Amino acid sequence: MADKKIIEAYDPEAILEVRNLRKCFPLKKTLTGKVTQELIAVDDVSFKLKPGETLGIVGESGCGKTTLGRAILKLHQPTSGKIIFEGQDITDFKSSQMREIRKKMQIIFQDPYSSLPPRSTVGGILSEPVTVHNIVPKAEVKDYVLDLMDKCGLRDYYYERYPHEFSGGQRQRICIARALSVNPKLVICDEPVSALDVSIQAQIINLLKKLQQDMNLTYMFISHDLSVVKFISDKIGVMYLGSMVEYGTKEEIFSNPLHPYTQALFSAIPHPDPNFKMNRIILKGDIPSPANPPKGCRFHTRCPYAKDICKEVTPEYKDHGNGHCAACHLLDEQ
Amino acid sequence: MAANYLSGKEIRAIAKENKKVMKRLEAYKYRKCDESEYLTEMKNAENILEIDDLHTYFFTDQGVVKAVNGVSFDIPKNATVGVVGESGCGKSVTSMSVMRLLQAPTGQIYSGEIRFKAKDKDGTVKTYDIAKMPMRDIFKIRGNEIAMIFQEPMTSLNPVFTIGQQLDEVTFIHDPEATKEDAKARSIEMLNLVGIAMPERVYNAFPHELSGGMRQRVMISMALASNPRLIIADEPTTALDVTIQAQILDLLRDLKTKIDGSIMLITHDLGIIAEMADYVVVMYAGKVIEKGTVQEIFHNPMHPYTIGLQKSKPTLQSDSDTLFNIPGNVPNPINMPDHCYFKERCTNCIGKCSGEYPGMIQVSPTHFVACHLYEEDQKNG
Amino acid sequence: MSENTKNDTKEEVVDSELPLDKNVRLMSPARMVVRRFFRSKLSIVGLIMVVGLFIFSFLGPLVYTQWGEIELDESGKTEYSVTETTYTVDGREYTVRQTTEKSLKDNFLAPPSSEHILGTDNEGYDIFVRLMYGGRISLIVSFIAVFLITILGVIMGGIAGFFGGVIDNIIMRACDILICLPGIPILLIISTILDASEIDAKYRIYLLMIYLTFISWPGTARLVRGQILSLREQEYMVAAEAMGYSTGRKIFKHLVPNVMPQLIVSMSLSLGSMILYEATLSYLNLGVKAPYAAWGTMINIISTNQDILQNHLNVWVPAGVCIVIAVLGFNFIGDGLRDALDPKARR
Repeated sequence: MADKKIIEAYDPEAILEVRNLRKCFPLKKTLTGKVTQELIAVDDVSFKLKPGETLGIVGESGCGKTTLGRAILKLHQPTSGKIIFEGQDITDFKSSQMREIRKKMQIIFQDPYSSLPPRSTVGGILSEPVTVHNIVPKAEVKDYVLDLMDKCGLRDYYYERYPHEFSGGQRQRICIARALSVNPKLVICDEPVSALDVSIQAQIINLLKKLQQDMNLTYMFISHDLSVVKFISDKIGVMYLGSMVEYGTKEEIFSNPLHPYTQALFSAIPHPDPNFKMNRIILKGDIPSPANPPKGCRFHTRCPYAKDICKEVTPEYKDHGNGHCAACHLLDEQ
Repeated sequence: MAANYLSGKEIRAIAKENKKVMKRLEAYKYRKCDESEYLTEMKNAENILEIDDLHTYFFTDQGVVKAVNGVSFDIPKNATVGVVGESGCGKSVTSMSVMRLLQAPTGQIYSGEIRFKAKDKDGTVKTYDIAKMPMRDIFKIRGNEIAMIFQEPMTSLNPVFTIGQQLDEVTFIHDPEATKEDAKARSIEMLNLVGIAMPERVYNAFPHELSGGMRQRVMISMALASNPRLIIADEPTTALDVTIQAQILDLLRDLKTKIDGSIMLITHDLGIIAEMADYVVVMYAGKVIEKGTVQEIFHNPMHPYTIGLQKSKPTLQSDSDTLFNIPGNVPNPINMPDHCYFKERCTNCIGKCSGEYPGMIQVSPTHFVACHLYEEDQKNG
Repeated sequence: MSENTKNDTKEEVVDSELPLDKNVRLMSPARMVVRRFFRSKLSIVGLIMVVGLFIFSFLGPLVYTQWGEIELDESGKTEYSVTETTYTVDGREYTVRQTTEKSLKDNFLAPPSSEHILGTDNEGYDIFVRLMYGGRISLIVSFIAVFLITILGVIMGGIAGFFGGVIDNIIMRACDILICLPGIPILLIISTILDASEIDAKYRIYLLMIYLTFISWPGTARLVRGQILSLREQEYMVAAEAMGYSTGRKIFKHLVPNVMPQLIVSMSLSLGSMILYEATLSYLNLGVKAPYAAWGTMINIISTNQDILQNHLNVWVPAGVCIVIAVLGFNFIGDGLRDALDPKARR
């Protein structure tokens, strides 16, 4: 683990800065409440996000990408580290203090079926946050909501309908409209398209891109699908078993992936062309359990280039030029 | 919008009609009949499965859902046929119809033929019409001649039995005279075949001790254990991570050469189809809209939906800034209009599209498309 | 192609959806519930039973006014008793037959007739009329008890489920203790106390129901707590949290409405058990006391009088049938509602 650095001055340009964020979940407790075994879901993750940018977080199941998103929103209280939002350190904010911040940070979930309350109408779902946070005067709420629905491609007569009457794509539009109803600055999109069909995926991604331009939003886009992330992100972070293994601009990551895991992820995606022959790196074995991660480099059990040092020493996460960061012993040697 | 809801009168009418039809079809399913009644002949001897104008309906309270509405395609011997389409297009219902695993009594095969070439116990080759088979005879083919791999490896294994017990069972059903040792040997062999490193250990493990990828391997080995002539893989990798998916796809490709049978691969991922399939069937809203060899579908897609689907799939290689998207949503399958179901979302509509549903047009010996745009070409050519 | 799509996407979406949307007519949520409820024949039977009982007990006394609840049939009857004495005098037998005529004030244990549809009991009350009044008491009392149980259960279960931690522990342990208490012995004690303090027979049943509420709410509280624990993990609750809603809003606007289906089911099922409780209490002579009628009290007669058990079925069987109908009816409705309100139900 990298030593906790002394907190430097906050970057005034960044809307969100995450420093050495760690989140552990207790697995086993003794009778006295002492934690004997814990699951390190997010381990020492740091990044900065500028307004209007999109950060894509890529990783497989159990890599901690969802926990990272929720920890930033403080839906999970981080174990250690700092979250700095708009120059404020919100890590230790109480829930009453967070209520104001919530207006500025929103989240869109993966499953459009369980993320909408089943017993409210679309109008009810969308106007509730507007009235609670007093975004517009009471008399204008309905017009405001209808305008928002129009922006998200929802017809006005959906106002009276219930979520179960809609298909996945339309529900995801409702979720987006709900998140945007409070005029947030940062939206965390937690796999917003992975439950949708291909043709609908493209609609939602385009909608998100359009809304980003119109409303000057900052996105943190979490996905397991590299090809989706590519279309929406400016910066990309690749996570494996709780830690960030590679981080850089989209161009850097796609043209020059440094970490062997990123390379394997790229090659694992099936290409829709029968004649396309790819030199596929097939990783052996399964993803280790995050409750019991391997020693040394977490990837060494599956890495095709693993060496002795990888089994013992955790590689340092450092800059390899142009802000392209990675954590791998192979890179250190070159 | 109260006006958009069904009235009580309409609901009662639907329920009455449904009850009548469902009763008739259920009685037909459980009738007693001689084997000769469902024996039939293949149209083409090279095929192992021929689906001919299959209609599978769900009789719901809100109306009849025509989940599969006149689907026809063939699965040739030793070939992989990929069925691709979005959720609700009827691809899974087609496979469930072949297995006769539809949720009764709402889900029923309404009409059509599913011809399957099966080997009898004594080795004679017979062609059955699965759609007409009564439920009591279905064991002749289900699990024996046709095996299925499901999407969810987490829930398709029974959690209270070990992997070994579940695998041995397949062997016992297939060969009732087998001894325990035979069955175990066969199970271990199967586990070896699917690339499980420590088959002895996995044999004695319970499903919850295995990871998703391992379970899917076990499911595949179970499907292979009875030496089926057809394997239906329903979204076999959707629930898995990309790197694990790559492993499983690699395994399936490898198995294709080792087993003597065909694979029907159902997926929504065009990439997987391109890698795995020999023939592709594209489905939309319960109908086949285009079918052909994998080269034809990927290099010369004709139906606007197939074209759109390929364009809207983001790939690592493309550089464009925005994604192409097909506007609109998949239509609700109740009360489908008579015209082409894709009309509302299609950018290349012509006047004829408001007319009746387009028929299948043959573009090449293997390539078919259901679109009015190509009717002229056919007449001229 | 990909260049121009972005701008006109939205317009196309909006326009092209309409025609197909218009074709689709769905069932309104309320109709869907009604439809699923009436799909099962048993729930229809249950509904008929319960509605029938309600009409019988609440409207019956207004229509059939021949007799009142505590109105004795004083038409009287004459009872003759014959005693025969045989004397032997000088080898000849003499039989002396002595007839005593006894004129009674009340017409008790009368067989069913046009005067008394189900006859009269051993006191001379009309059984048919008392069945109706007994039904009133039973139904009112069980409804009150169930409502009290539900209110207490929702509040306690809601607090325990939502806040968790120490509060949850305290409430749940209190539940555990209450569940351990033996119900009937304590009822006996309370009833004796009530007897001693000379509370009006009419009201003591309500007091006992309050006690029943007190020992029965843990069941509901556990149900609500379990539901809330699972609902809390739903993504829409996380979304509500992310929206920064207040705690009260989260509990009462988002959680409680989603617990309602399970609550309604458990309420209808516990109505049946409350009726049984009431009958048991009355049978043990702890509940409604004479001269007031309750189904349990009406059966209680047989415990003291062997003759009625054997020879006067019309006195106690109708009350038993009413209890069975009520309990079965509420249980059938409960089962039907469970199927109808389960969002995961197929079709």
